[in-house]
Amino acid sequence: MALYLDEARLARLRGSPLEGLARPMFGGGLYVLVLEVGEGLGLEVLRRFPSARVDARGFIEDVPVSFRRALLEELAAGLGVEEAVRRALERVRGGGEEEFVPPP
Amino acid sequence: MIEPYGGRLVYSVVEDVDRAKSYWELSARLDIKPTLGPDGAPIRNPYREVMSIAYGFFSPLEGFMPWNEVESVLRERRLLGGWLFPFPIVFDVSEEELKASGARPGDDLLLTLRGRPFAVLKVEEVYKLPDRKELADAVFGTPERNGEVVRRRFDEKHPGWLIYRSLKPLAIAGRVAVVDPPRFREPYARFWLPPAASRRLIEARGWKVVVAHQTRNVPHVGHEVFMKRALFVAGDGRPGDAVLVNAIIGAKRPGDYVDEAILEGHEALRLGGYFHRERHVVSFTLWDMRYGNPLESILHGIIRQNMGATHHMFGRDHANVGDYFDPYATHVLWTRGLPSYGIDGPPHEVDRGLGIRPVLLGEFAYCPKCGEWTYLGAAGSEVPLCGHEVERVSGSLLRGVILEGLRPPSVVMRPEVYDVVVRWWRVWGHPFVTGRYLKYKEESLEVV
Repeated sequence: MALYLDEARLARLRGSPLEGLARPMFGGGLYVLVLEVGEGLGLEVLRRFPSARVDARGFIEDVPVSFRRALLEELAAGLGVEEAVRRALERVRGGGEEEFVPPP
Repeated sequence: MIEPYGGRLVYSVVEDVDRAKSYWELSARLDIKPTLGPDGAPIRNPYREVMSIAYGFFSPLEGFMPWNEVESVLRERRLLGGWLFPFPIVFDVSEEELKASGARPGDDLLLTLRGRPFAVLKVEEVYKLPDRKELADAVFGTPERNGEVVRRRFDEKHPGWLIYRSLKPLAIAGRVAVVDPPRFREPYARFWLPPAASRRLIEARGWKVVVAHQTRNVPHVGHEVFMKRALFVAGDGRPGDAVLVNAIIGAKRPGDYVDEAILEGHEALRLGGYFHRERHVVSFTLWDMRYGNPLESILHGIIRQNMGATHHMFGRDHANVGDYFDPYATHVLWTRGLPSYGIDGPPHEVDRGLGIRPVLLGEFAYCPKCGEWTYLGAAGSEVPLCGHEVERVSGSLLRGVILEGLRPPSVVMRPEVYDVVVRWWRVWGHPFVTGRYLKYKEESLEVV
């Protein structure tokens, strides 16, 4: 899976082991944090969110934004990747499909 | 100017008001209803097919197919006149609808849209469709029969297969004519450029080499760069003149970009100066995508040839969804043909095939070291053009970035295009298609 970060979001991971794993994207305009999850957990994510799919890069994408945000919060709180994914799944009830996402 | 497909451009719009009104009083009439999926949600509206036939996008097709033409298309992807054509185009009705309409072969059937006179269908034949699941399999193929490009069996998650699977049991065949053209809502109205008008525009501007770009996405810079590269190579020794962007507008799926943002996003490339205003045009065709990858590419070629384009871009995953088809199935078709579908050679090389020429493109990637967009080799090769580590850019990745509220860097999405996305985000409360958008879209359609 991948989380996309700008400088502000990257700052939330500062000092954690994950900070060094964030790679610049598109010449440094954004960062991507690639999170490896086991097959079973990956399937659970795909099952939970009807919109989720594996893209051409092999990443689980098209998950609800509420899930991504919960995942970042759990990682920032210091949880390991798989535990953070499980916690984020618990926090996003139901299918997690949002009808409204506030515009930037 | 390239010939219309089949040699003659269809234009079946009754413009004489008195003549048009004479049809309004027909006793045989039928209100057009959408095709519904298993959950009752609209997945297709035949009004879009009536419009595309009548305005000539599907020339030489003049109407909804009789059964022997459906059989011909399924057997060898040919119309009765011999011209290559990928999909059965059928006007399906229930027994109750047929009975209530009072239509019989030989009648003129007035088709109404939300109760208003819209088009006339000259009833030539009424027939019973076969088992629709078998019909859907026959349309798209199976891994056993079409193993050169089909990777797994189609099912209800495939939107195009589901359309054929969900057709009503009867079909009415016959030519159609629009007798009261509906008025498009904005922003659709300013992008409506049917083939006759598109050809006039191309002629007036003196364009000789016009490259068509199929889209169902807001453009990122990779799309823009590929359009420019395609234009550069398409002219057989001379650079091309212009890009014809043609969006397919029809039933949507959750997670798609909203149609309004797709059209205005492409327009923003021109307004922002990334394309010169005299070398770029944005338009749309009404059609509920069948996501038929190579099959769909034939229809796309037909539409854009009729609009006057000389070349057509085909990339990875052209008109594709899921992993039913090989991602490069369209390249297989346009280089070797698909004999298992009855297409013995590339569509532009077979008898009664297309005049439009393909420009085959690889998969998008961004090279941070070169500081520019590049591509991975076509037909399954993972080798990038440069010797650096490149970043593969999927539509899903960009959707993830946008949904997070992050402004994509300008090397990925032009700021003017992103501003369009945000403008429609404010309108719909979401940057992508949601249940709310779907409901509005299929209730109100694209017309007033």
